[in-house]
Amino acid sequence: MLYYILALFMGVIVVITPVLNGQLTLKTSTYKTAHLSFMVGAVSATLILIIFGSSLFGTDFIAAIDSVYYTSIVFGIFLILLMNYYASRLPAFLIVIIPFVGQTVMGVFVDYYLIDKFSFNKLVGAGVILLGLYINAQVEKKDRKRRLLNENQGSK
Amino acid sequence: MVKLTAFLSGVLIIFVNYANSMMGASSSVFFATTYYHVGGFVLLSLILLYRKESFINLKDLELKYYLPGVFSVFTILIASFVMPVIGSTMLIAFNLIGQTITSNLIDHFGLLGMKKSPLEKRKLIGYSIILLGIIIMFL
Repeated sequence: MLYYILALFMGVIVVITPVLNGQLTLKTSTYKTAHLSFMVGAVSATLILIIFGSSLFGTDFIAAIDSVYYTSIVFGIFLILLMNYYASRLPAFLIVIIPFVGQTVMGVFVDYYLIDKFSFNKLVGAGVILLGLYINAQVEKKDRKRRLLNENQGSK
Repeated sequence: MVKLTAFLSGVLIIFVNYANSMMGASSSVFFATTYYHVGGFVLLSLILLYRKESFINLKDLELKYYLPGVFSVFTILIASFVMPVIGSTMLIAFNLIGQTITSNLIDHFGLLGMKKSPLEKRKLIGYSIILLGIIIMFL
């Protein structure tokens, strides 16, 4: 249960983060905003590591980490640049739907080949979720059109 | 092409989460998130220097803009902690519920300085279908 609540909470912060970062990007720049985010992250993560992970101050475990995983930072920064690129070039509903499809494809791959958590139901469920997202996107699209029409008529 | 970059971002999110969670498994989630942020900080500092941009001015920065950095640490801690147990597909699904609820609250009440746009009742159909999808995942 705790795991699902945490996953849910992750969704909450995933939404708040781009809102705040978007506002700050307008005032400064993409790189500066990302830089601040990593700077605050570096300080808080180090504090958390000192408080909760102090048994880890040896270096033996570093050899046990597959070097591929060290590339995460490069992809993480590349990800920020990608998001900035398409956020202003795609209609809002695609900004939700396409990355969801990308995540699901990769998620199924990871679950199936790497952590052995795959089940066919999850794939069907993801398909149904996608349908729900699509329907709401259409509602939003129509709603926006109607509002635009109303505004135009109002101005005449 | 633009659509491909959006697709790629979804793929990368899972890769980054997976890499961090694997690194966490061989060391600890606390080490993984520290590595990610300190490493990213160093790399971005170099990028800023290369672009001859100055670092952000912390003096008149509103407090709320510090939140994304803290959230970023929690995102990785949570992903590293949760993904190996419930799987990445489930993580995505519950992430999505959290996202849906939050973005609707923000829009409905106009939180965080966003424009207020009340919840469209017709959207409840789509949300019911999303919920159904999540129930199917549990079967």
